Amino acid sequence: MAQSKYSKIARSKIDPIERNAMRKSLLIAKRIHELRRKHGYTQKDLSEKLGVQPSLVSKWLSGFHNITIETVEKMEAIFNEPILVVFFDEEKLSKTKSSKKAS
Amino acid sequence: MNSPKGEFHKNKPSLKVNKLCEIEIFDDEFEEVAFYTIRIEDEVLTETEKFYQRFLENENYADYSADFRSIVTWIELIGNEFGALEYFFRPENSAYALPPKERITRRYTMGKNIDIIERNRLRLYCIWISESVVILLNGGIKEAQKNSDKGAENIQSHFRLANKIGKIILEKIIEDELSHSFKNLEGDFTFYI
Repeated sequence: MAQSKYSKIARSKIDPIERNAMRKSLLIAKRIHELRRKHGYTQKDLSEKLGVQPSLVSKWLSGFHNITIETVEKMEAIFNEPILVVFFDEEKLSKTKSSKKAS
Repeated sequence: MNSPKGEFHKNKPSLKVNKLCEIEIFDDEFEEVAFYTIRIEDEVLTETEKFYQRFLENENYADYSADFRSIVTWIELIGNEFGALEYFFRPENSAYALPPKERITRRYTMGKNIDIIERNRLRLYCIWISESVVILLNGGIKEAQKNSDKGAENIQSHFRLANKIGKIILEKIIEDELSHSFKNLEGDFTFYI
């Protein structure tokens, strides 16, 4: 295993919030890619179904472009499969609420 | 004895000396991807270290720290978790570049976090070999839309070098001089540019 000292320094400066946001974008992009392949759609097919430019689909699939919940919803309708699953932790939420009240 | 017209130049030895390059590891401590780089002759820094050093240590580039950090974050995410899927890179003729087309930047303004979609002003050129092997090169500030446009001088030489190396590496793979299995790159790591 080897690592340039510059890589080590740069990685130590990564902002965890930025990393998490980017990670979520990448997860969404990867999921859309998987579904697109599974259903045999090209990027052009997908852009036609969504009524947008193919270049925009390409940006979404790179994982580096902000995708709206509305677009995700439209894609889920096209694939008839979920892209985003939101977990709602009731127990954690009630603990947060009670700790806020206490403070 | 007079040389026939043009013969003088034809026989004149080229003053352009080919430089020996060697592929070496830049960072292979990631789970999914090994990032390699190139060292030209006996230069102290590799091509990627030159890029990193510029944005880490040179105060003249402080305005680009968010753009740089974004590229480093991208490298870590694909390196540790996603793998170097080809569509996470920007094709640049015979080479590739990071980051892909657009990004989200978080700005702190008036005490609030605001997400802004903007173009990353930097390009880090690379050679994509597989989902587990990427050779990172050098890059710079991309100020013009096209590399041929005025204002792109800063980055043109890196773009040209990346394409030159991209062709050489591809040839080496086709000729079986270089091979890869998962994160390992094997074979002849040297070439001339």
